[in-house]
Amino acid sequence: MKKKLITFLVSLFFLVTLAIVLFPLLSQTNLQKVSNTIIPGPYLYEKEFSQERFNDIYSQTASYQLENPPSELDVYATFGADMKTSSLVKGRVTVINFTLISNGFQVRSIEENWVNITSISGATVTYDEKLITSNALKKGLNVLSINVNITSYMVDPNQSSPTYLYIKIVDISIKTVSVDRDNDAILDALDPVKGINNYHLLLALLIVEISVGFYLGRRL
Amino acid sequence: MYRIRWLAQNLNLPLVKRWSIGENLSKNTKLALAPEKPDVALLVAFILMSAVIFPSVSAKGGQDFDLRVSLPGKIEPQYLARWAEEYLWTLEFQVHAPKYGYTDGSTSWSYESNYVVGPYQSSSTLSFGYSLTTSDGQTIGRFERCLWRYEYWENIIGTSREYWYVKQRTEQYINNYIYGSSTSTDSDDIESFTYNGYRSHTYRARYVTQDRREDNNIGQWLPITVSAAAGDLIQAALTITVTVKTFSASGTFSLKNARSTTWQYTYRLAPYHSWSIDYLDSKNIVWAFRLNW
Repeated sequence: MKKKLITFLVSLFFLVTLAIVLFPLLSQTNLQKVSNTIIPGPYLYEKEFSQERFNDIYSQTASYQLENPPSELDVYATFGADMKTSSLVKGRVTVINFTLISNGFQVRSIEENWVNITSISGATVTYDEKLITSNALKKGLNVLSINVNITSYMVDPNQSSPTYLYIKIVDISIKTVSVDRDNDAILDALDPVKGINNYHLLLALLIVEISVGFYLGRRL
Repeated sequence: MYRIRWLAQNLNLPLVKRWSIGENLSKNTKLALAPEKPDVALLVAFILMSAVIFPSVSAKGGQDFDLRVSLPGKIEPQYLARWAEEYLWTLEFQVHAPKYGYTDGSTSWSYESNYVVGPYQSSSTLSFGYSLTTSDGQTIGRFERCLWRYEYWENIIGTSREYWYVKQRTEQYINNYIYGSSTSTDSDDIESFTYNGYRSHTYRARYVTQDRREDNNIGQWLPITVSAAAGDLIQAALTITVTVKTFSASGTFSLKNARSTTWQYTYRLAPYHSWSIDYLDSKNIVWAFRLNW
């Protein structure tokens, strides 16, 4: 009887180890941990205006697929922009506000102020990657929008100046990183017990098994 | 001790008869700790241990807040005696073009700008990807609105330390002419400004003395290319002064090539003109100009 008990407990431990540690570890060797998606552009905005005050909105929408639930991934988004402007006289302020919206949630706002600039033939910027919070993501098709809000005005309201503005959004980049939030070296995408460190779980099982073994062993 | 034993007996707790740590204890104590059924005690202990282990296994939440701010050499013990915070336009990048000339260079490059401020060398680093070219004496600075924090630490033995560092970035940028009233010279370049109610820190980015002279007497454009290898500084030790509320300290600004390839930048000088050039720092890469003729 004691033998049976010991066999049962050892087998149970071995099976659980296989299920929550060994199989996931073996499976994740073939899993791509980081993947990059470039959403093809460029998205171009080009306008000439001469009003003392000018407002415009320009929006671009792109979509991409997430194969795993957002809780198993860290998703980063970034983009770049080429900007040119020319104005006949100094005294114009142009504010370009980029708002990044993921599935209807605003996730980022970037503001570029061009102050008194009469001529910029080439300003190229690549913004840092920024994490999109998981509530703004979903498994499957995700929609990412970049809303560009342009406000341009003369510092002296009695003045006006013909102005040319060019904005090209390039390289919308989505980076997905498989994460291991419970620090057990098993990626959450393959972790059968997410949120709990699998080795802690095994240790707990071992402790309980030893205790049960002692307890029942004495009684049998 | 008798109470413990009484409690154990009345609650009918199974205690171990002999426990090794009880060997050197007094007889009464040994009895008090003397359990009779070791297995159940072990079981209870292990279940309690498990209860301790499980709550500590929590998912790592929140977002890493990587501003890469280091506060060197804190002395222990210390307490924060006073502090202040203020948003300041913070220089990330600047380009100077000669009058009758222009610049071109690598597009969308990766940089790290570093600010070392105050007597205790508080260091803050901002990384960004940017490229900007300009022409005909139009000098441009790019700044980000950053929350600067001042801290004054003391300890009971009377020593103190002060820190100035970037606490937070806002992703609000300004691209601003800093060439002053004349495009012919960088001598009057703006060294601080206020925009949208926020001040900038001050920066020494104007022409002061001639380090180099270029007389372009040939009838062709004269290109001069400067470069910085991967990880090298593009600009080092530009003097800045950071004032957070009323707490002010001087420091240095430096700019590093954060890419794995060589950064290049070319100044193109028009024919039949002459310029005096001030290297804005020891790297001889970032120049300020004064037109001679």
